[in-house]
Amino acid sequence: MRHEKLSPGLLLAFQDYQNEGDKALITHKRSLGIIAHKSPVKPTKSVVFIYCDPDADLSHLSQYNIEVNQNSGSVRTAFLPIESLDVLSEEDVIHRIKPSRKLHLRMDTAMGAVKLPEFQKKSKLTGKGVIIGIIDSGIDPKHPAFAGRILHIWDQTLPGPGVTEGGYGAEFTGAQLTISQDTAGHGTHVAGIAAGADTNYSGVAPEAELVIVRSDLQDAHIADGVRYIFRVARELGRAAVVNLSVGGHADAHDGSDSLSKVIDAETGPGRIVCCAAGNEGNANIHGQAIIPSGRTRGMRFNVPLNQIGIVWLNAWYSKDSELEVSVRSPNGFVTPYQKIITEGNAAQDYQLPDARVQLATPGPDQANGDRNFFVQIRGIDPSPVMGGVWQLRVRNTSSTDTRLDVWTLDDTSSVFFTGKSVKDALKIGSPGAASSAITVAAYTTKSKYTDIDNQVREMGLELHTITEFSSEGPLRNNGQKPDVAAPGAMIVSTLSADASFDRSSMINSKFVVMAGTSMATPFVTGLVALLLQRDPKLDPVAVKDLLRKNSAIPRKPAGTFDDKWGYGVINALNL
Amino acid sequence: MNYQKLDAALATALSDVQNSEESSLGVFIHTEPILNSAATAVLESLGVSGVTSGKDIFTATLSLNAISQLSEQSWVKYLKRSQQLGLVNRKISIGKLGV
Repeated sequence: MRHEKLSPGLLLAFQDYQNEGDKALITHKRSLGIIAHKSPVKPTKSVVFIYCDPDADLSHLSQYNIEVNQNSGSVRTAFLPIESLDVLSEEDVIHRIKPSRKLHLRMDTAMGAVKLPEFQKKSKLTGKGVIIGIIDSGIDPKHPAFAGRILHIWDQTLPGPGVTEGGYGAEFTGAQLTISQDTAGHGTHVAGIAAGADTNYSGVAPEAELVIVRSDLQDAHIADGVRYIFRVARELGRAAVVNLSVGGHADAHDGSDSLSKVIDAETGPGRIVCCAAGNEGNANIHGQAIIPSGRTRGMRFNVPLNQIGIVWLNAWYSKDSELEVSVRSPNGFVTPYQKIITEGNAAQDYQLPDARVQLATPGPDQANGDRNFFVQIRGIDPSPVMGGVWQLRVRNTSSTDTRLDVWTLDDTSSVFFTGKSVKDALKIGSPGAASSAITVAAYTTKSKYTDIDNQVREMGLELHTITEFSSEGPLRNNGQKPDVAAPGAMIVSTLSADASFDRSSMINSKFVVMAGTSMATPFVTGLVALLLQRDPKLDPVAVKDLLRKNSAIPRKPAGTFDDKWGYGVINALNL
Repeated sequence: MNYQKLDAALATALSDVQNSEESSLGVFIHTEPILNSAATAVLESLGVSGVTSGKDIFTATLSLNAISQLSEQSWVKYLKRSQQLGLVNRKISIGKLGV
């Protein structure tokens, strides 16, 4: 026996076998490729890698029941009785023998990190009988991970007669499903996390059925999509959970916006919506200022050079105060201060030498009673908005101090607050702000992966903690959001054949790696599908209660809420 | 036009409308909870879906003139502009460790 040729683990297993026979191998089975035959009279075998001379002839080893699977090559695989390791190690042309290792079947490390395999094994839940609705960029209906489980696609982007909830787009079922495509690839990836079925990269609820809305992402159309999915589920007599891996910041950040209200109205027993918290954890899209009575304050924001066609600011403050608003350009030109306008159009235009500015300062918002103003800045045609540091100027003409919260909006997400105005909070907008929605933050379970070209890729993410890009709560009215955290980086899931991905993000021709609260949300959506399979009458309050009780922030007491973590990362073990 | 029923974003968008007859503005229509037949007829004439189902929030793509007409209706509480949302996957820049 040439012991030095065996890897340490295999050597240990071999020595245990020599000393104690088959029973000693039980503890080695999973990691060492050891296969015990069902018949006790047949020998226990092992699958091994053999490192040898590339042109070595190993055919004679068959007399020892060693089955070498290749005739040439420096690394070959073989199937052999454990006791034949002795003979194998004596071959001069063989330099090293390593065991084949039993690999786990998984979406990636995400499942195991939150004890999902244990929960699935214990509960036998697969999502069967539950509808998962995905409102997103579409789905690749030909992907084998969804075979036979897509019931409907409402493609809002194609011409057609529409559906009951909206007279636009086209609905497909059966063989026509393949007319709709996912050219962005986002929705296919999301659907795979929630409900993909695959031996290596299975989703959370691999037997749930899918109703897909390919949306243009107008929030009114997303609202139509939510109603559509719940109506289809109702007609089928099924419970349903809808996934919304979308977000924006044009709302009040308190759940009073129209889409959030529709979600609150449509959810109930057996009807759940899961939303993404957003990815602005590292982006200064939110500014905040305390403006004392009778005082003026400036909030600076930076516009990149020659990039931005239009900039919007969405600002909210208490109904008890009144602010006048002005804008200063990088060259120092200013608009007049505009008061609240309660007669006629509240939107007024101002032509500066270097910009066109529109200020809208209406009376109290009808939905929440607070005050909202909107600022729109354009360049002088045909130029984009002038780059540099701009200033929003506000004057408090009321007798009470007030807090002003402002969010930047632009077509490339690159306008940010700077200076003292930056406030790293309140960055969960609609629909994540919806009271009844389960709003999901992202947790990092993987920071390296190997791409399709066998290149190891590493992302600058800290493992086993909340992902730094995950948006912080709470809501503007101090409502607690996000609710829980789930694996959102880096996640391997289904690849749409109609989308183009950089090869560096592809795992193979069918799977791709992505990150975001977009990915964390369908993880929880799939989990909710499992819970709805067990109890189809669960309502949003019950689901949230269950998820919160089974979530925790590391090294914090159970039940602790944090603006970034919510109630912490989910642990599925005891759901 | 009853501007008091428009949110700031919709008021801003109206200024950019070139053709007041063209249905170009996505909106949410918030109404009283119970609508009479005249109200449902108005909504249906504007192409609003699901009017008879007891909802109080509707969606539509409307012209400036239609928004003006709706804003004057007593059963319309307020109108809000539909907003473009984005997908919230992280744009990643790939680093490389080597094999």
